[in-house]
Amino acid sequence: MSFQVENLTVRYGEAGEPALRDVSLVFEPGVHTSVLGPNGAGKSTLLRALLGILRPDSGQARFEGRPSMEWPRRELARRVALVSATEEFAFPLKVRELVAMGRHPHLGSWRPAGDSDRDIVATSLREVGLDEFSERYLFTLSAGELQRARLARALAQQADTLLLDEPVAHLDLAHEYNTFRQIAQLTREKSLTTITVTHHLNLASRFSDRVVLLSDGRVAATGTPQEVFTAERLGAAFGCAVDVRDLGELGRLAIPVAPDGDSNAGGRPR
Amino acid sequence: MVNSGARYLVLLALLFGSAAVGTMVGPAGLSPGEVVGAFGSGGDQIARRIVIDLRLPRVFGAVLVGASLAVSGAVFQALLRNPLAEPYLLGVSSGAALAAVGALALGLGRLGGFLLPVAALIGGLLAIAIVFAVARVSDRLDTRVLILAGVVVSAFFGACITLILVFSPAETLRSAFFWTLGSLSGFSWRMVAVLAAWAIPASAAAWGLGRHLDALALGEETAAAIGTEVERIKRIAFFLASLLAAVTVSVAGVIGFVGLVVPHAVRMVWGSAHRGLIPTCFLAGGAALLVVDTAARVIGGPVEIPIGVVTAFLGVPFFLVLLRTRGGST
Repeated sequence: MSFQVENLTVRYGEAGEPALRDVSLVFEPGVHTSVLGPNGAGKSTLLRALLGILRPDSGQARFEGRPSMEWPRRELARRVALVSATEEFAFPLKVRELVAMGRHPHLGSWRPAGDSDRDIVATSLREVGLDEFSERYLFTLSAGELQRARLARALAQQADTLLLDEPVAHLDLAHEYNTFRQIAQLTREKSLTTITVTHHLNLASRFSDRVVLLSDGRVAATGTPQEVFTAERLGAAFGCAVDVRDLGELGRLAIPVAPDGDSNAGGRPR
Repeated sequence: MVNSGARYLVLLALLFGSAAVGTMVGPAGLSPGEVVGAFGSGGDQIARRIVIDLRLPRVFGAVLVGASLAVSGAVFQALLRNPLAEPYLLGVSSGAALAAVGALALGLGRLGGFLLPVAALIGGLLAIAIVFAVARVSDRLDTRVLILAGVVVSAFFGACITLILVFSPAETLRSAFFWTLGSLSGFSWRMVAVLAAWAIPASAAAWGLGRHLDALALGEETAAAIGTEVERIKRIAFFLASLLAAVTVSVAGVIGFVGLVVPHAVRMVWGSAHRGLIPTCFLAGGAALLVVDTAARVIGGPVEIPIGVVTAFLGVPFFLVLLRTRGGST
């Protein structure tokens, strides 16, 4: 097992409601897990706790048995990579420079980047199809290309665990699909432990081995997409009537059909 | 980073070239031969005094002050993720100015004396301590609070300065005015030594932070995820950049613009990666202030134009041209 969460409770501020309540989960290598749930369910909080940048009120998030917070950051970064959706670019950076930052945990403060680092950066760029873009400035990229650049940085980190926070936010139909497909493929090929936080239910059901449904800081359901994707479970978690169709190998399709409490599910809005 | 060797050669050549010019020109012009002769024995004693006691310490001072300000600005811009950040943003200069003006008003120091730099340094350190204490919330250094605290503390110190000056005689007012303009005149070897002893190791340390500054510029969450101990690095960066600013202010007064513009100019030409940016800023900042100071001594004839005026007069057009030609990538 790579990540293990035991009875994790996290509160922002002292008086507030907990963002996570008594959550226990295990994440295994070679498995792509999607974390789903409504806004404020605690998805990003879970990711931050796994990454060890958030102090839990009680319970623990562990990586390889050791609490995430106790790992030296540089050591953890050689094992765990993050693809974040909330990155800022205060200064003009080139694609190659962004991806090269994935080598930082391997190089430390002083060691200059060598040929092998440059090769790894080039390979990572090729893997996401950005090899032609290495000298382009980030601000010239589309949202989809930028997302791929971030994924390339995570690959250059050569971590065995991948955390993705909303990797398909702002992406169009084809880019959403390609991103999810590539995440699933990388997970299988490199036997990564992959944890994706997303609002994209349909792609998550198709490209995840396992789904964690969070609601109000608790684990509402966990299991294969087939097990978790039922009209009752999704409806209760999102507070909205949901129709679920099984599309076979295309996964399960979840469509919101009526507002909260309306029993007339399935009809068109009047 | 194919061209990194070339950029250092270019900047070193510029630095030595402007140092040579800076040593030769001034109220008494010296030929290259006279300058070289000043280092040997038996040469012209007056030329020797001008070169060794007056011009060289000033040349070294200009380089070290410019280098410190540029490095400080580059570090602050990354730490605060703010392209408008500069060495004086967080109140170091106003703290130093308040202490200097206070010392002048109490008759404790005079321009060119020994006490004024000491007072200014203490004032700068005090401002750093206050801003740090305010921005440290439950063991975290909040960079947004840092900016706000710095601006507020600056405003308060500014008000104190005004209050003191209102009740001061004209002579104090004049001295205070000249102190705040910033100047490298009368730079002594002792000041060079003090400045070098801090500026060089601190800039080297900032260079070592380079990769962490790249990471911090992307936001703290990403920085942590690529291996940066975010809180520790933020503190080190804050104190390095603040102290670089405080030491330069204490020996040279407030010299604006270099700390803001040089890092941007370097980024436009050579890119934003901080492992290259910091040493390049050190050389470029040093060369820039040396050129400006030499110009300040020469242009006005017998009257020395305040260095801050020349920094703006030369720096603004240069920066505007750069901004237009290199495309608005900053």
